[in-house]
Formats: sequence, structure tokens, C-alpha cells
Amino acid sequence: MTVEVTMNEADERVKTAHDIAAERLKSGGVGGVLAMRLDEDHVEPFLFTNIAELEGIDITGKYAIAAVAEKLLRLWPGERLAIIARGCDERHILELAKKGSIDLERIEVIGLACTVEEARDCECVRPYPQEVRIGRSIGKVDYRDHAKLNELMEMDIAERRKYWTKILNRCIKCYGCRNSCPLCNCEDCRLEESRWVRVGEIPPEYPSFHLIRAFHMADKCVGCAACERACPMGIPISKLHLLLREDLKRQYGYEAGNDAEERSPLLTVIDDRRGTGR
Amino acid sequence: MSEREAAAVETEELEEEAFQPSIAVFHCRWCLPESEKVRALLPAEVGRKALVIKINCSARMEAEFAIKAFGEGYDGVLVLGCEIGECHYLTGNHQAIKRLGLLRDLLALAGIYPERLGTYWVSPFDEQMIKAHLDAFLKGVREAGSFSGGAVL
Repeated sequence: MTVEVTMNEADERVKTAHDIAAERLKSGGVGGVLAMRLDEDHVEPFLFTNIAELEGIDITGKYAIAAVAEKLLRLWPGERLAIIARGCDERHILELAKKGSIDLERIEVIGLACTVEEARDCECVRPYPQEVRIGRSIGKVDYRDHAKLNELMEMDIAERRKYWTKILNRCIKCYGCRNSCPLCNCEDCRLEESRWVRVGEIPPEYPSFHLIRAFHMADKCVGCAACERACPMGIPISKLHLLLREDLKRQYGYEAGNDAEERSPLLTVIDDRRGTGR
Repeated sequence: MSEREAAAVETEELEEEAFQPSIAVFHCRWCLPESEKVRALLPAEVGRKALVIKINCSARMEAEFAIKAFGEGYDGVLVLGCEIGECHYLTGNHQAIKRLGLLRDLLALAGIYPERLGTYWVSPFDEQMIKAHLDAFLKGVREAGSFSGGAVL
């Protein structure tokens, strides 16, 4: 019985996505709807420009689609775009706008809420966009409810070092974590400079490669876990990112991706209300 | 070798066994303009092998500097900057405090004792206080032990 209900819900979500996208294409004002498409045996990002194509629309695949939107808007000056976006995709868009890479006037978010299973899979604490139009928001999830994060928090420092040295030794330095991230897109990357990371050495020495990336992403990461999904060696790297994100929230009340106008606390002066750090 | 000489050698060996951490020091040029003076503030056996680097402001201290130092096997990284309100660039040290505080949290999550990264905001007119800070920092690093190996991680 449960299975049947879930199936119906999934069907309903696809239908809603289809109908909203069709309506957007009909009413005009956007050059297309960017969403995922099912193509035989895989899903991929696709720019839907006519209603007939919408047959293939998909909302199950996870893909950091904001990077595609950024590229399209750059290649397509003056055009507007609608995008079916999960909570994390929307946060990517807002962070990209914060960096000046996306003009929010040119992008229209059609919010997709993640299911309980999808949220659990990413250890997501905010699996919904600001305005949900597809599916139902399951609300905020406490990070302490995620077993994987708790496991790390319960270890002492020496145990964490053993844990990470063992796991990070699997790294083949494929740069998948960096390449999959819509926000980790500096033109000159420190991780490619021999001064910071030795060239031609696998695995990269502990702790340079991974800590440099984790620190650079600390006030930008929106918790989408694309880096972790991209990792062919199964390194649970998003744990560091998610816990740093919680840290900034706790210390400064700051969450990347909530508001394009909000500045990272790392760029602002100490104010009395938030204390002095340390 | 006489008995007395042998005893002297033995004592020397014992002294060498006490753990003297290797540290990298980054100091702001405005509160502490001379690297050799900073080195002189450290206990001689630590100062001798310390890497002391002058930076333009504590805000110049990037996370990479510390991370690389650990990667190269330094047991501790020390950052000395101006007191709040005294920054030559007005608020450089504000950002340094926040950034390095966050870095310390990341180190802890990644399995590196956060005591290995010391940040102190000092007045050039209070050498006693600076020395007290250095003592506190070195105590933390000694407790954490050698970074690059051994049973104590």
C-alpha cells in the first residue's frame, strides 16, 4: 500500500513539474526552462524550449544544475531563464548572485522540494527552496539527526585524525569534488599550484589538498553534497563542509545561500552582538 | 672518556629528549617589525629552529599558510597580530580573528589539535604579556605532541 502511495506521489510531482514548465513556456518571458531530462537510461540537464520536449522531464536526478544556468546566462545575454531548482540549487543561485556571476533578474526559480529519502541521502538540513511549487516541504532537519555527522562529532581529535588519514589516503586527486561544485570555480585554483599541493603525488599529502578546499568553501558551501556524489573513491568529504556550515550558523547566524545581499561574516568586522570569535 | 664527561653527555641527551616543538611564526610587521626580535622572545631551543615570517597584517595570514606548515611537519603555527583597535589597516585583525577561529574549528574536525594554531593579539609595549602568550601556546603544542608521527597524534 505504502509503495503505491509513494508511486502516486512521485507521479504527481512529475506532472506538476511538467505543467508548470509548460505554462512557463506558453506564457513567454523566458527563453526556456532548465531542468533534468530522462534520456533512455540516464538523466541529464536539459534546456526545454518547446512543450513537446517536456515529455522527458525528470525530477528524481540530483545534479548541481546552477552551474549550467550560470553558463547559459553568460552565453545567452539578454535572455531570461526558468529553472526547476531544489533547495540547494536555489542556494547555489543566490551564492552565485552574491559573487556577481548571476543576475537574479534574469532567472526564475521553480522550487522543487526534496523527499525525506532524498534529504537523508545528502544529509541535508534544508531540503526545500524558499517557495515550493513542486512536491511538499519536509521542513528543516536537525544536523544532529544525521548518523554520519554524529559519528564524526563523537570521535576525539586523535580518532578523527586516524579516521581522516585512512579515508583521505584513498584520494586519487581527480578534482571531481572541485569540478562538481558550482561555487568552487575560481579561475586560478590554489589546488593546482605546486606551492600548496605537490604536483604528481597521489594521494595528496595530508592535510593540504582537502583542508584547503574545505576552508575555501567554508562560507560558501550550501550543503548540496555534489562533491561527495562526484567522488569515485567514496570519500565522505561533505561532512567537513556540512559541519563548518553549522559552525558558522552557530557562531554568526550565517548560512550561505539564504540571501544574495547577506555578506559572509569572514568579510565583515567583529560586532559586539556576535562576540569576538576567539 | 672520564666518568664525569660521560655523565655530562648523558645529561645532555636527557635534555634533548624533552620535546621541543618546531613551530612556524607569522607576525604582523606593524606591532612586531623585526623577525629576529620575535625569535628572541621564544625559548632558545624552540626559537633556534622556528620558521619566523613577517607578514604585512594578520589579515594576510591565509589558511593555506598554516595548512602547508602542518603538511611540512611543523608541530605548531603561531600568528601574532595587533590588538583590536590598533590595526594599521583599521580592521585587518577583525577578519583574521574570524578566519583563523574558523580554521581552528576545521582543524579540530579534521583531526588536528586546534591548540596547534595559536593566535594572539598583542601590544608591542607589553613584552611580558607576549611571553605569557607564547608560553601558553607552547604548552598546548607540547601536549599535542609531534605532528608528524609517533603514538601521540
